Amino acid sequence: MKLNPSFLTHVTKGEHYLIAMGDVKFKGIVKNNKTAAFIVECLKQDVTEEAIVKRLMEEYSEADPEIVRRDVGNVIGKLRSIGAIVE
Amino acid sequence: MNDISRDLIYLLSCAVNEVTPDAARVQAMDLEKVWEFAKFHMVTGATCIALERAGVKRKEFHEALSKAVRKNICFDLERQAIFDAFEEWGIWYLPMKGIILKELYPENGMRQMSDNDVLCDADKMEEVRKIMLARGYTKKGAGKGNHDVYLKAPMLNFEMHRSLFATRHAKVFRDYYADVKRLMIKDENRGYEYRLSDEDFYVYFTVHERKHKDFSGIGIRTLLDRYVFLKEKGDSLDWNYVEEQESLLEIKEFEIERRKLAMNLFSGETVPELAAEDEIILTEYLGAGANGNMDLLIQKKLEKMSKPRFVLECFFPKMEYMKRSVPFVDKWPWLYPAGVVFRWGRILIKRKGIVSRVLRALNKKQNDKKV
Repeated sequence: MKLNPSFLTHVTKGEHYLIAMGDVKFKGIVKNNKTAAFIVECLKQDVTEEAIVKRLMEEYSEADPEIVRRDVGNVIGKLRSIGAIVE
Repeated sequence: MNDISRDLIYLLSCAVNEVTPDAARVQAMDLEKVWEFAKFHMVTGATCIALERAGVKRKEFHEALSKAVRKNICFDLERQAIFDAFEEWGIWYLPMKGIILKELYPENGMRQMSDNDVLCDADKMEEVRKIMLARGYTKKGAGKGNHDVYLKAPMLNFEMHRSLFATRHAKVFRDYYADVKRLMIKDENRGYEYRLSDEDFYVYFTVHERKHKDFSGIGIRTLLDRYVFLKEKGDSLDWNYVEEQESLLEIKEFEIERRKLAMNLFSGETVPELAAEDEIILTEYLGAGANGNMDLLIQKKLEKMSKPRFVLECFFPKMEYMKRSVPFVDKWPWLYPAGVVFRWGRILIKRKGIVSRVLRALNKKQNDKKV
């Protein structure tokens, strides 16, 4: 899976945004926290959910793997719901 | 200054100074009227941020802030792509005005923009046109004057300037900025991007404000811009240089007045009582709105010409204006009479409302005189 090319990211004033451009149903913007921003950046390349979990664990080695797995699942679920992911 | 103006100024001050507004004071505000006034001045984003800090969430304000954030991001992304194309094509460019100012505001969406202004190489406007059209923009107008306007639905508007001032603007401004390249500083990281020094940016900002003031007025967002700029940069500016340039441009007194007013309005914890002369200046900003208004435009024209002459010029504008407004008159000036008919047809079909606004403004001026 990867980020739908109609969704672009932008960082401004230290805040990470995901914005839908072009002909997509979702017309809003998403302001990402640090974790969501990390996940979105991973999705710029074709990647599996498990690979994202692994990268997050490498970045935050002291985090609880189950919590990381749950958070990644939640974020990917939300991104899917707005059409931001292509399989 | 009435209560609504005072409330809006207070909220804007809280927003840019990152202060939480007094909750009791906010509760006492007529937020419907504050909303209308904030919209008029295109400051709904900053007002929303202040209100939400005070724990007040209003749907219309929040939607306005979301739209402002989205619009600014769209502009940022689009501008980057356009500038990348300029780099590829070897076109020099200088981002101006709101593009620079919005970076000085503390939060995203606080500084709203209706367009992006970019000064570019006047010898390469045809290349600019090709780049913009390839990116899905349509060009508005005949392409005369000092800038070309490019529009892309739903909200993108780029003004590509070939010069900072047109022939209709004050000679002192045109002459000073005729060789703008002498003021431009090359960006270290890009091949063709330029910027102005903070001093020259501030001087140009003041000149631009003066230009608008003399035309149809300019709103409170400009005073806020001045305050934010001075808050961030005022201590580091070379004021000797700034004042020297202002004297050359004949705007020194104008700038001193506006600087004093902006600092008075936005730097304190409360909105102060103003001296009479400052109140007069502020009234013009409060009445103008973000992009000026028809009443002020007509009022300023009638200060310089008689009403019959004004009406005559409405029907038969000067050739310089007609060349900008009607493409075939620019190409074949002898078609001026046909251009007049075409222009009136266009007004009656697309901009009918403007006729009644002009008549209302003229009648108002007439009635003001009788009083």
